Amino acid sequence: MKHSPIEGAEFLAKETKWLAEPRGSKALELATKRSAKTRDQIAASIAQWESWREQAARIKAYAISRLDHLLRQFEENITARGATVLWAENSRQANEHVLGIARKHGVRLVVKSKSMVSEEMELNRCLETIGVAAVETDLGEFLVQLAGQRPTHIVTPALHLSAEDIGKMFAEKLGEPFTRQHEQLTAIARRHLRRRFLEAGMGISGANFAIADVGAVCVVENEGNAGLSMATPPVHVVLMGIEKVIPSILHLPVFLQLLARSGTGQKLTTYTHIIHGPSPGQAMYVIIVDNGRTRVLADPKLRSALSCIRCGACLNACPVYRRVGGWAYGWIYPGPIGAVITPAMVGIRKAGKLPFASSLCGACHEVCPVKIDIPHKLVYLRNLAVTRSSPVRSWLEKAVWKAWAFTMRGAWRYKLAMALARLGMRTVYLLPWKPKLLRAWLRARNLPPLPAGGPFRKRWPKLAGEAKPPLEKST
Amino acid sequence: MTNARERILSRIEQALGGKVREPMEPPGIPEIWPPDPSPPEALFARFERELAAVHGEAVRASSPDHARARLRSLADQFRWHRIGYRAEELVNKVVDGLGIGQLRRVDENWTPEQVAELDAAVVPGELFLADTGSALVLCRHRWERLLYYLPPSCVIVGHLDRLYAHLAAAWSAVAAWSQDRSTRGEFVIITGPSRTSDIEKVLTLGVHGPKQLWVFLID
Repeated sequence: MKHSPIEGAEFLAKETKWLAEPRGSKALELATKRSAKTRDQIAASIAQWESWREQAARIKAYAISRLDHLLRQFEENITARGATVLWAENSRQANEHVLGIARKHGVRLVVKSKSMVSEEMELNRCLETIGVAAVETDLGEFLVQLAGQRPTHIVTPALHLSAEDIGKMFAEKLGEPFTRQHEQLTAIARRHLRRRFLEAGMGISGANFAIADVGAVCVVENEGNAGLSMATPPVHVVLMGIEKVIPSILHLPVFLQLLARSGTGQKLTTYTHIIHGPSPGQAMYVIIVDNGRTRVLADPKLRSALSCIRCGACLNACPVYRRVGGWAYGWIYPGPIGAVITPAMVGIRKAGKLPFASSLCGACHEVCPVKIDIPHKLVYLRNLAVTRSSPVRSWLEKAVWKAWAFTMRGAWRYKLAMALARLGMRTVYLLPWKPKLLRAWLRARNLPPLPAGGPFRKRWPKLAGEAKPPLEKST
Repeated sequence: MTNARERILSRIEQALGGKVREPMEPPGIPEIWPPDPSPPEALFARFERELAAVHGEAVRASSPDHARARLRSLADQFRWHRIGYRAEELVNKVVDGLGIGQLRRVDENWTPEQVAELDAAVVPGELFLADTGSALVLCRHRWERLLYYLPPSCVIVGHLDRLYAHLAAAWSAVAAWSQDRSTRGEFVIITGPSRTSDIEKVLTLGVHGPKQLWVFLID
C-alpha cells in the first residue's frame, strides 16, 4: 500500500473500498465491541477508577506544562546512565539519526518492536535506501508488513486479517504449508522471527513513558518481541515523541494500572520493561522527536491531546471507527484521537476533513484513561476547518453551496432543481460512467428510493387533510 | 544536530508562554490501592489464582529442597534436556544437586544463539505481586535479559516474603532501585507467559518469549 506522510488524511478519500467488505468490517466491529465491553466491565469493577483517571490526567497536564524542563532532566539522567540522546525536529532528521547509527555500527538488519513514531518517519522505507532491512516483530505488525499493508488498529494492527488470510500469506510468502490453526500460525511467525532477532545488528523500540527523575524508559508489551528487540542486538535505539516524558518513577504505577486495562483489558501487560540505560557491552540511543508536536503544544485548546498514552480505548468505543477501520483515517493515528492529533500535527490544511469523522457521541471522552476531551477538540478543529483554508473549504464545496443558495432564492428554481434531482436518482444506475464522489458512495450503498406520490409539496394537501386534529390557524 | 535540541526546546518554551509560567502544583504520588494487610497465606492464594488466570503456575515450596524436587519433576515431565540458570544465592540452592546432566550456568560468555537453544531457564525474581500474579526481575547484563525471553520455558525463583499485595505496595522498593545512579539494564515485570491475540483476537501463548512460566516462592 502506498504510504506517504499525509496520504489520505482527507477522511475516506481513498479507502472507501474497506466499507464494502462485510467480512473485514464485521470482524473489526465485533472485536472492538468486545474490547470496549471488557474495558467497561473492568472500569465499573474498580472503585478507584475515576480517581486514577483524575490523577493520571493531572500528572500529564503537569508534565506538558513543564515539558522543556522535564526533557532536559530526562536527557541528563539517561545520559548519565550511558545512553546517547539525539533530537529531531522532524521525520527527516530522525531518519538521518537512525541511518547514521546504522552506518556507524555496520548494521545490515534491524528488528523493530511497535513504534508509532517510526511509522510517522516511514523508517523502514528509509532504511531500505541504504540497504538495511527492517523487520517488524510484533506479530500483528509483522503480518501487515508481510501483506504490504498498514496497521488498522494501534493495539491490534492485523485485526482485519483472518487466520485463513494469514495461512495463505505464509504459504505464498514464507513457503510454509497452509494452515489456519492459530497455534501453528504463531509458531511459524516465531520461527521466522527468532532467526531475525539473533541476526540483527540493531533493535528499535518505541517508548510508552520516559521517566525524567531517574532517566529511564518504560516499554509495555505482551509478546516478548520488544524485550528481544531491546536486548538481543548490540545496539538499541529508542524513538520517542517529546510528549512521552513523565516527571517521576513514582508516577508510573497509575499509568501502568490504566494503560493495560484500557487497552487490552489486562491488569498488567505481560512484560513491563523499565530500561535504565544500556547493558554493559551494548549501545543505546534515545531519539527525541518533535515532528509537529510543538505545533499541538502551541494551541492551548489542543494541547492536552499530547497526554494520549496510545491505549486504543477511544478507537474501540467509537462507532465511526468500528465501521470504517483504521485505514480510512489515512495517516498513522486512527480513530477519534487520530482525528484530533493528525490535523493538529500536520495542519488543518492537509487533514481538515478528519475532525468531521465523528458523531460527537462523547464515548471517546468517557473511556479515555487520561480524560482527553476529544469531542470538544473535534468541534474546535471543525471550526478551524471551516474558517481557514482546508479541504472542507474546497472550490467544489463552495460551488455546491453557491448553487444551493441560488436555487433556494426562487420557487421555480427550486422546483427545477428537485425535478432534476429526481431524474438523476432514477437514471444514475444507467450511466456508463459516474462522477468520482458518487462512484465511491455507490460502491457500498444504494441511493434511497424515491417516495411514491411525487414531490412533497404535491403530497402535502392530502397529508395535511389526514392530520388529526386539524391544524388551527393561529390568530 | 545540537541546534535541533535548542530549537525544539525553544519552541516548547514559546508554546508554553516563555520562561515565566503560571505556577502549577506538582502532582503528588498517586494513591493506587489502599494498604492491604493480608497474611502471606492469603497473598499466596491470590498470587496463585492470578498467575493461573494468565496461564502461569505458582508453586509454593517449603524449602529449596522441595523446590528442587518440583523442578526435577517438571524437567522429567517436559523432557528438558538443556536447562540454563542464572547464578544467584536462592537459585543456586534450588539447582544444586538437581541431577540433570545438561544443567548449565549461563554467564557473559554465552551468545544469544546458545541461550536460544536452552529448553528452560531457572532465574531469580526480586519481588512478586499478588493481585496480578507478577514477578519483577532485575537484569543488568544482556545475557541475563535474554534468559527470560529466549528459552521456551521459564522458572522464576524467589522468596515468599517478597510477595506484595500489589504494584503500589512494592513500588517504593522498585523506585529505590531505579533511583540508584549505578543501576543499568532493565527491570521487567513479568505477568504470565508470552502471549498474543493478534490473529482474530484468539489468545495464543509463546509467540516470542516463553510459552510456559512457573513461579516458585520459597518459604
